[in-house]
Amino acid sequence: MSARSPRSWFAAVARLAGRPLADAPAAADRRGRIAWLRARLGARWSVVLLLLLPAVFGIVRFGPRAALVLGSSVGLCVAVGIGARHLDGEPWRLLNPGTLITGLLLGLTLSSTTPLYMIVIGALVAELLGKHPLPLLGRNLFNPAALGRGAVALCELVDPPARATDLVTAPSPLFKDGGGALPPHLSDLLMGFTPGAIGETNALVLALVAVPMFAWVARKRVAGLAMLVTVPLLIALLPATADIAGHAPWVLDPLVFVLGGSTLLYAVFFLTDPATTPDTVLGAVLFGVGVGVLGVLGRLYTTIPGAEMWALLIMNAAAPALDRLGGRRLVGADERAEPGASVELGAASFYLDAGEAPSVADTWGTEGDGAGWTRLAGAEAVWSLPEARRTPARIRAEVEASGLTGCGGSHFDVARKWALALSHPGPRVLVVNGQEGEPDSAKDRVLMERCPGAVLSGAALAAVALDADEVVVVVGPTFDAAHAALADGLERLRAAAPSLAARFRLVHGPGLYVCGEETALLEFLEGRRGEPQLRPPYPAERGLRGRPTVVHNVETLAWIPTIVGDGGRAFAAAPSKLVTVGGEVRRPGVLCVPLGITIEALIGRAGGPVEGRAPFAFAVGGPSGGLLPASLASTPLDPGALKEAGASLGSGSVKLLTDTAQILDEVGSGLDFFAEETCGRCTPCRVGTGQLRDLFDSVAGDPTLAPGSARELRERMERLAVVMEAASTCGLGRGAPSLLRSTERYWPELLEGRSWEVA
Amino acid sequence: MPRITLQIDGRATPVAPGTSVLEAAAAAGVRIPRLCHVPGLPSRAVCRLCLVEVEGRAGWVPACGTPAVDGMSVRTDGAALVTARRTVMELILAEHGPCAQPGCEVEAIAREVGVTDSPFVVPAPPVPTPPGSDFIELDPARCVHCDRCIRKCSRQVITRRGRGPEVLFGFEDGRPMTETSCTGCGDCVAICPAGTFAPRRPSGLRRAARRPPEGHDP
Repeated sequence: MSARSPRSWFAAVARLAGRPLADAPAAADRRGRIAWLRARLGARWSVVLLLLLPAVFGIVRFGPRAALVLGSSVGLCVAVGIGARHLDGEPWRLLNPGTLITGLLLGLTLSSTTPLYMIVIGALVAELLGKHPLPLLGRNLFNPAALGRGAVALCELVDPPARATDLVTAPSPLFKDGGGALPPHLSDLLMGFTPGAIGETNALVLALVAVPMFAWVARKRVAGLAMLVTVPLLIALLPATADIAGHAPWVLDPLVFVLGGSTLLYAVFFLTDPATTPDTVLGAVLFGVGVGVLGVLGRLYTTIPGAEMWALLIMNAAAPALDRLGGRRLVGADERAEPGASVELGAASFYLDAGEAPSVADTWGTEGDGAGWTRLAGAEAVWSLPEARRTPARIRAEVEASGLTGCGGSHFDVARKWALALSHPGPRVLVVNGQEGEPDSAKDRVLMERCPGAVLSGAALAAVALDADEVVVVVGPTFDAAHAALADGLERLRAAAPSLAARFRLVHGPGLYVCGEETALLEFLEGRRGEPQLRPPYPAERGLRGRPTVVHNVETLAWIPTIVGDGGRAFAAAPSKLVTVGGEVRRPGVLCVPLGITIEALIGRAGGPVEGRAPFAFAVGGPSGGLLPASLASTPLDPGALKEAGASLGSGSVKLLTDTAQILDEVGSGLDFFAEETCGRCTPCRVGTGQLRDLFDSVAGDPTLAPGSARELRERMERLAVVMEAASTCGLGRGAPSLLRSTERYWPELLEGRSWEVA
Repeated sequence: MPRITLQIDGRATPVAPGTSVLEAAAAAGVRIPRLCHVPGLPSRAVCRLCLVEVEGRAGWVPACGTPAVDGMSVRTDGAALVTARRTVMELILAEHGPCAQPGCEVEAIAREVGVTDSPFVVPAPPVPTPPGSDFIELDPARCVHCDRCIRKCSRQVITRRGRGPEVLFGFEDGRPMTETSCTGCGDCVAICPAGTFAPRRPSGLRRAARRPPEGHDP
């Protein structure tokens, strides 16, 4: 069966990588499968696999001696590599792809008659000198395998190899005495029936390997391609009368030079090395051209053996300088800095302490809002629906019809977010944010504890819709009950929906306000300090470990089973929202209310104001939301209407305040919160949050402040707030002045010194 | 190579794709003040001094971290923008504190922006000063958090630590500098604009170097 063979090599490679084939994209999606395989194998293991092809051919072609050379080269590199890592006190493992690449490459550039002691020297130089990061550079300068080959070449100067005339040990056909009196046949060059190093003779195998290498595996391919263009061009341009030291006349045939020499091997494997080639496009082009020119000139006008290798080493040394020329950076330029790869998820503690659990009382559900909670609690019923209602297209269509927006505070349209991620090739990642860093909000924690099934089923449906194969659920550091509930929920989900392809992981996050920002959360998940990052690239394009990533708040996802079950239009007609009601109300807690309910009605559902108090103001949306006077109690709880009134729904918290002092407290503690929570990345937020709090304290708290000084401080405050709102990196800095803005709008007298107390 | 054209202060400027707005402005002959941006290091846009106005985008964006887009219209000289840039510089200067070092880069940039002193007062981070090494002396009170050292360090041992008022640079896992893989190469000293990383000199010499110049009122 012809259809079977590609599937079986695919399965074999996938098994080699230790990955269950069930995760792979469908067989019809060939590009998806190749991308999946490369992502699973990792670039370095892919290179090892590709290197095995010329190695196997070399052994077939040159016999057991080649196997001995290759075997001892790989074995010695592995042994030296392990020894070096052990002495450095670093963890090591037997099969390190980097060491295998070095060993294979070194072996492939050697002749099958190379004596063992030279291989020992080569392996020592490659693994010890070649892999050791240089102090000023932080990485190795020279390609380790080329450096090892250089050491062998120096040995060969002292102890020259016996040049015989048979096909096995003779020098490559480019030498005058290499291939007889006639130019080699093209078929011999292609099939490798010419003398030369183990890995460089078979041009056909190298050309075959070059295709996947340049198409999928290598990220930095500009240098290799530049060399492949330069070499034949230069050969064609060189005058035929050139003094060709020790070389046959047919060397000036570009085809013979490229196929018969080591150009292909170097271009495909040495010039695609992420560590020792330049990071910029211009640098890489110059690098490839440089290796090509130096290699050709060295081979033609000198008698130095291994000209390409020396050319590569010279250009390796020039790579940092080439990068200084500037210009656009290569796509794969960041691959070398992958320190996060070995860091356990969530293990890094760059922040000194974790966030605290919210102090809001843990009540849920009151008379009148049972319907919403019931729908959330019964969300797992979505898995008994007919399969046809849970297809990716159907889920996407229902969510689009529902008009669902992000419930974490951004209110970004979910369908739009998905469309953005879907416009980039998968596999994709879904990150579920259940950290709830908002100080006045408890709805996410209560939701995860009471209705884990809704969150997880929603995440699973979203993963289906997004073709995501990985779902990371992040809960706050102190949310042990939520963690346990979600872990149970996962068991139930696996039983209810056994065909789910996505892998779920449940981790504790730092729970900090700033880590609610998408890029900061992704940084944390990659083992770095959780700080917001410059965009572009957006997470939908390049998120967790470079894969298109969608980050959703837990509540956003919790509504998706309802939307899929009842239909998107039904949800659009009567959307629900979880709200945390606190402050001076009789029954504070997390309520499930229709979106658009008035603040008045909401306070009523929470039992109204406590005995003897009357509403004075409402704090809506937490510290980056706003304050509304009691006269605006009929404002509907809806993002648009709240924005008009100078507040924002945020993550959905409403606090009832009953006098002026509480307003000042609210503003002061809000500003204090930001001053304590800023990650310190950008100036307006790092310095501004503290300054704003200090200025507010001076203006609102100093009874002796003269009106003139108050005015001056307010001017400074205004100047600062404008910069913070317009120029901070993320929502923390941009939202920090918002309670101050409400105060200016509704209670300006509070910012004019303490005259309000007298009045 | 395809070219894209953007407007810098109304002047059509052709640049290569992938160019930042900061580089594009330089090509148009407009110098935008900058602190954290250093050629050769990736842009982080943390100092927010190179703010510009981009038509159609809310707020101000950092020129160094904003890629130039075909048809983009950038203003670098609006009155509100200049005030904002001064305010950012005042914040940076307040953080840097009074500095008597000759040739201080932060103060040179402040002069370029037109700021000589700051109405803001920022206390030094209330965390213990991390000890330096035999070769490098640390003065955290001067740090302006430009991230240059973090990006420059070839061993990647410097990170930011803490949050809120305690934000300060630190080393891997909070260890002292000497217990990291720091090789003492001095790149951090060379790239620091604030004198936070300084070469350790014999004490007498160092005191002499720190003494304010004649006639300077501290």
